[in-house]
Amino acid sequence: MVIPGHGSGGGKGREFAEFVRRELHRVADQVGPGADGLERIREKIRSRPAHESPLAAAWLAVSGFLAGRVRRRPSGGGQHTVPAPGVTPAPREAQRTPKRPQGWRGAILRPAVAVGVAAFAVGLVLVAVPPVRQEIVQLTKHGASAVTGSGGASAQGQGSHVRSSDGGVSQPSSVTSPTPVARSSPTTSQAATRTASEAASPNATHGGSSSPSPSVTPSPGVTPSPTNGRHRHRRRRPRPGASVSPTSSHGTKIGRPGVG
Amino acid sequence: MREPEDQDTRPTNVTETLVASGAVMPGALRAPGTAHTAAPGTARAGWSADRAVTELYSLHYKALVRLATLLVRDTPTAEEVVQDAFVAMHDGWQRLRDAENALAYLRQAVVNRSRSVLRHRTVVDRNMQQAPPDMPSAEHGAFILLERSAVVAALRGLPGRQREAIVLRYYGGLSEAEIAAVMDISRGAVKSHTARAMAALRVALEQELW
Repeated sequence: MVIPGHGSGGGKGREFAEFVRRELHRVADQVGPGADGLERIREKIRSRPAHESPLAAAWLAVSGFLAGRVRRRPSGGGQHTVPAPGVTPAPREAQRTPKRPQGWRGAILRPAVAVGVAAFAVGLVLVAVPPVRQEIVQLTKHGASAVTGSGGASAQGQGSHVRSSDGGVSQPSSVTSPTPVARSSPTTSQAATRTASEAASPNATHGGSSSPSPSVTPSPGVTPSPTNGRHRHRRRRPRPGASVSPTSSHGTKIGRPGVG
Repeated sequence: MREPEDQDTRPTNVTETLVASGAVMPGALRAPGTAHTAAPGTARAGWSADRAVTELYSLHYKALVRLATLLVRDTPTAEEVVQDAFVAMHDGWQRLRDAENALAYLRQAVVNRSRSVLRHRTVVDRNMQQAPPDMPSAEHGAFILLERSAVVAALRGLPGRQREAIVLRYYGGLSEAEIAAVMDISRGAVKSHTARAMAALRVALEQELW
């Protein structure tokens, strides 16, 4: 056999294509199909039950539709659909159906959990970042002081009268205690503070009585917040090279080394 | 016979129009002994499904079986494939309602079912590797006839898409657009498959003959 177009010049591909065409026809013409092809086709058509009558075809169409609807429903308990006998089961990827919520609980619970997780993540990030955390703390304190301050103003004049052991009645702490003044200006000397304290509450300072000192007793009218009283001791701790700034009374910069 | 390379051009005369529209099958898919023009009533839409099967069988059954034989390399299996395609065409005749559409449907059904047969055969061969080697299969005798041709033997080594493109083009005589419609691919893909298949065939035949 000689391959046409082999080694020749122009029209090489055309000659080879003609050669392939001739070979294919030569081989295919040797194939003689059986003479009973039409009969077999008709027999196959007749043997199909779906086409015996239009009623049967309609019934098969309806039943197929219903079977498809039933098959699409989610099976409870993770049960797998059993393929019909003689039918090769589809691969696992093809058998997967899109997951649907198992009712209104699933429909509500999943978004709620998602929102909760998202809020927790945002809060975690906000707390973890130091500047954001400081801002939050400051805002919280400002808000708390504003609330407490309004409460103190309303409570002015209603300060508790502490009864001393010698029968005297001490002054209401809201009037007598100058501690907020001293606290608000930390640069004030201790002597001035002490003088003011002595002038304000002589019983508490010099009497040595068991009555609680107004500066110690947390009073809403005097102390803006209990936290300030707690930080007061920490602020007075001597720190080398650290000048007390007014913001240190809020306790935000106390714990940070090298401030100022 | 028309050159396949010329079939992409727009037909200019009546015969070419009939060929391009599918009323007349070019090449081997035109039934031997029939006229080059459309058979009486071929393009009519008023046929019943049974009459359509009868008419199309008389015109195209043999050519379709041969086409399927080149694809599946087995005449009994090719007959089964073509008969199933006719049955499917009978079922969908209300949708087709035209001999032209029915013929295109038959070609596509034959190609698709031939693919299925080859796929099934591949799986069977993979699972039957433990069979005794001295026991020839029932299809072995049918293969021998076709394998005598060097072209068919070389065609067997091609990938499926390339084999289909070659058979449809050089045996079926279809244009690139018709092959694209049958194989459900683009015309560019048809050109690519055909060119690669021809190059591979040339190399295979050169290695076999020299």
